[in-house]
Amino acid sequence: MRLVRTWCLRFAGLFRKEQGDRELTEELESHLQMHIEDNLRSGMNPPEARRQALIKLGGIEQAKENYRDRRGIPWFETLFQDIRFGLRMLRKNPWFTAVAVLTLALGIGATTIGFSVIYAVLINPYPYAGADRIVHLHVFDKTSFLYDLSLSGEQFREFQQANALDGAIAMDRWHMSRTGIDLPESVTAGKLSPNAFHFFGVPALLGREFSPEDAQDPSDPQKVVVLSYGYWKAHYGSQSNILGQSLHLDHENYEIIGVTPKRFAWWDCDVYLPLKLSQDPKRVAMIFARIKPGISYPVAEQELQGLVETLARQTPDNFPPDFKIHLLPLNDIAVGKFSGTLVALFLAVSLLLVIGCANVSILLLARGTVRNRELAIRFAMGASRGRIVRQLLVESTTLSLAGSLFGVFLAYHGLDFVSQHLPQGTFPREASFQLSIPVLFFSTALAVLTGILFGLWPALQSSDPQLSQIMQSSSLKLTGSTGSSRSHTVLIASQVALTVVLLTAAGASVKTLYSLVHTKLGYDPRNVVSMYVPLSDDGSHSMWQDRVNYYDQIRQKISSTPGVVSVAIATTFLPPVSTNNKSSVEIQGSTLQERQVITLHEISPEYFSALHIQLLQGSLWTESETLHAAHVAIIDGSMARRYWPDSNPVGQRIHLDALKPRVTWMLAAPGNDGWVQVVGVVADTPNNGLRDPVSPTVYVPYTLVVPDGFLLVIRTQGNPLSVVHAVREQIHTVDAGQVVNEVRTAEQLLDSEGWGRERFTASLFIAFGFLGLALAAAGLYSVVSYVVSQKAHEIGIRMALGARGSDIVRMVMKSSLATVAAGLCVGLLTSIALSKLLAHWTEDSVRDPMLLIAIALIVLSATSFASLLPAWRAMRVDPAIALRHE
Amino acid sequence: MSEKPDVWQGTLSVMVLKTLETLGPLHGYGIARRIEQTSGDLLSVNYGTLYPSLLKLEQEGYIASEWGVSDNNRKAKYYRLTRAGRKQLQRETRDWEQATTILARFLSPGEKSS
Repeated sequence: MRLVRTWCLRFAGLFRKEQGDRELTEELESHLQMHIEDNLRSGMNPPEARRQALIKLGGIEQAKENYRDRRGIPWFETLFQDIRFGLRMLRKNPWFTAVAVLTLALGIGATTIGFSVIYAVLINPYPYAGADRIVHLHVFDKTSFLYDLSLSGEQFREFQQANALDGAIAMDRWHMSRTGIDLPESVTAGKLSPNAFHFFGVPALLGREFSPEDAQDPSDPQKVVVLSYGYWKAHYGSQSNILGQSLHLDHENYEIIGVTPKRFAWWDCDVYLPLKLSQDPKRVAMIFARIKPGISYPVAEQELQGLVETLARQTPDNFPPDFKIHLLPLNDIAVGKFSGTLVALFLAVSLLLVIGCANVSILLLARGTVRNRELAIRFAMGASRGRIVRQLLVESTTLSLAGSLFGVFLAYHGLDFVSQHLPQGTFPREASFQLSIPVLFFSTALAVLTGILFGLWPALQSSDPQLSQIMQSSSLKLTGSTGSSRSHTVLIASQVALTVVLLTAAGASVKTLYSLVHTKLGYDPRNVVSMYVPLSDDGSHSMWQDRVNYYDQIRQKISSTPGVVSVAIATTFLPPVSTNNKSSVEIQGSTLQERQVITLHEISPEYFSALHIQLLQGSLWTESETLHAAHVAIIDGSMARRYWPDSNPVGQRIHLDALKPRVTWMLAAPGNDGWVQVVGVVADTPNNGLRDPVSPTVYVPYTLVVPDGFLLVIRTQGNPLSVVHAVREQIHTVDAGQVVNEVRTAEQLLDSEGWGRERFTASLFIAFGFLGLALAAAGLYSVVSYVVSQKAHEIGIRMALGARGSDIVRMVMKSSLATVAAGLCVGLLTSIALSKLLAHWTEDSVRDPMLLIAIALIVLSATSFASLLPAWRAMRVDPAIALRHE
Repeated sequence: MSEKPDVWQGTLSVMVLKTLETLGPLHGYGIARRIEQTSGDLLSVNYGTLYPSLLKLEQEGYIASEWGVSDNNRKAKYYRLTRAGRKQLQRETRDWEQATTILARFLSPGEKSS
């Protein structure tokens, strides 16, 4: 207790220093006077009385000093002094401070953001229980083409029992119309088997989720609906009193029983309903399952293979012949190829942190060497080594902390920015971007440690006993100790090398982007808009003729809309989106043993004029042929080259397996036997994204197999988005309950699907590369400046002896350029060696001499500039001043 | 005069407390004189040791101070013993007595022979 009281008082003593000093002076003065008076009384004369009193009492200043040490907390006071001094030093060198703080901040910020994104997207993207073992079940046929595994309700119940599985769910995702309001709205509904929410293990944000009790066989499921967080927020303003209200979907009332939490975004649905596990073998649904822990995918695939083969014997039409089960992990679906890019970006960001730390080291080393003399003087004046170490420690810690604070600030704000600019479709909707605190700590600690270690360097050096040598050498301005200049060389060279690696990656990604943007498209994306028209799930238009009439009626209504040039019906998305609509093909009279897979587009013939796709050979089919579901086909150039390299494809007959409908929502035309005759050949359009080669394509009339929804492709005179409203009104006149969704222009699609990822990657790499370059240049600049200031005396003498300015520049730049050249070579060699790794995110080889030469030139010119500036300054030194400087 | 030894560290505070107990509130000069006199002028107290020691005692709460006027009308800071100081003095007195007794036994000639 007493100790605490004492320290509190001493701490308080820190803040009332002046008053304490005044009182002490007074007290000592009165003490002295009393002593003198006593001396006088004992008979001394006044001067003698005073002299004796002063001798007796000892030095007054020393007494005050002792008193002060006791009153406050001495080390604390000197700490304040050191901090004040440190801040003054930082203010005195604003450039040094700015570069060091920015460097640290960028390193910390970028690394933390990079890792946080990787964590959110790759390591922990899903809130679902055991998400890393959840798979989407696929089957592939002999041609390795993947289909969704679809099971009927009865089959799903059997499938669930499989040993390898730790639960399975079935889902049917479809568009429903929200009715009972002025204009019907399209709502994406996820119909999930009743066990789904138990499977996911994510509790509701509000109310409850549905469970098997809501769908007890054999009756229909309860009319209940769970809203997704996004839909609840957008349409109900996040109000909590919506439970028990009803939602009108496809003319039926559903009771709202709950809202999912924000991260629950399974398959990006607006609402979730219980799925009826139908007895109808043609009513099928997608299957997801969680594999039991400890069971490898191949083992699970083997078990499920046997089970599904048994099921397939009941409904052979629902399965391709000789299929194999394939498990697709959840994250491969969302992230896929992008994961390599993310890892590469994280590596790049880590390189940036290393470059940043190297840069701070260089700055501190360069400054420390300049300060050697200051420290030597302090030693000579009697400062203890501990005191000097403490002062330097405080200075560099202040610097590092300033950088770290700024870095944390950058990380917090940058993460939002980056997560908003991540290209769509490259990360799961469920990903929640949160700053990774451990990584923030790690990178901050690394930066602070670097700062402290290299900030202390001069003190550690000064500890050696050759104090007088330092004094003399620096006063004579001879070349500094070779040890520190060697560490500069190594640091600069490695910085340059790492920068070159970053720039190579940037160059390669830019090349990829450039080649993508200049791909020959084969169609004209300007002034084209597409929108999806889904039929509602209520069983209307369930006869072939009725459905064809309905679709054609909508098409004709829209073609008469002002501003519309042409309208076509399609069933798959516009290029360059890759489509799942594939078919195995058989050529009449061909001896091809192995059946091959082609892309199938079911369209109306206006598709080619709407997209300006060139007809190369033969002719298009007519409108009336469409309406009668004529057995005709148009193929693209790559199909023609593959199957008829030397002959005319027009007039040939081919059989398409996919024209045989497998599910209830596809209506086949009467007389459709899968055989069609080729009537024309059109130009290729990208149908696998822009990077992959075109897959051979067959276009057939959409009427051969009519799905329960279609894509309207509209070419307009002006801005395609300006006609969207008019088009919606036209559709409304045909059927007031018909909704449209997924309105997208061809240019938007091209941007997001064609080169969105590549643009994102390239811009980040460019930013990283040039940041690295800026840091390397700043480091070089500070080192050369330091060398110049060290050699000011020598330069003065040389100039006095008649050296020209160019000689001085050459002298200064010779050593720095050698360092840069060494770093450049190492960097280029590293990039070439790493080209396999770089190939993860770019298909272009980095072993492109033009690219490497360009990068070498960029690095050389930036570093030359950085070292030329101080050299130029050295050249202008007035010899008289330089020599007098001592 | 200058040959006199300084007070040992640690003993000064006991002397200050004892002085204040005997004489009541007193200023620094008075304390110093009293200690010197009591020691038979064998000790010399300079203010480089006295005042830090007074500050320490005050911080520990054993003494308190206030400004007052001396006998010959001079402004001076007076120190007085607090209740905690009185207790501390008793404790220290006991400790010192014990220590001196033990030491005395060691150093007495009778002890050597036995």
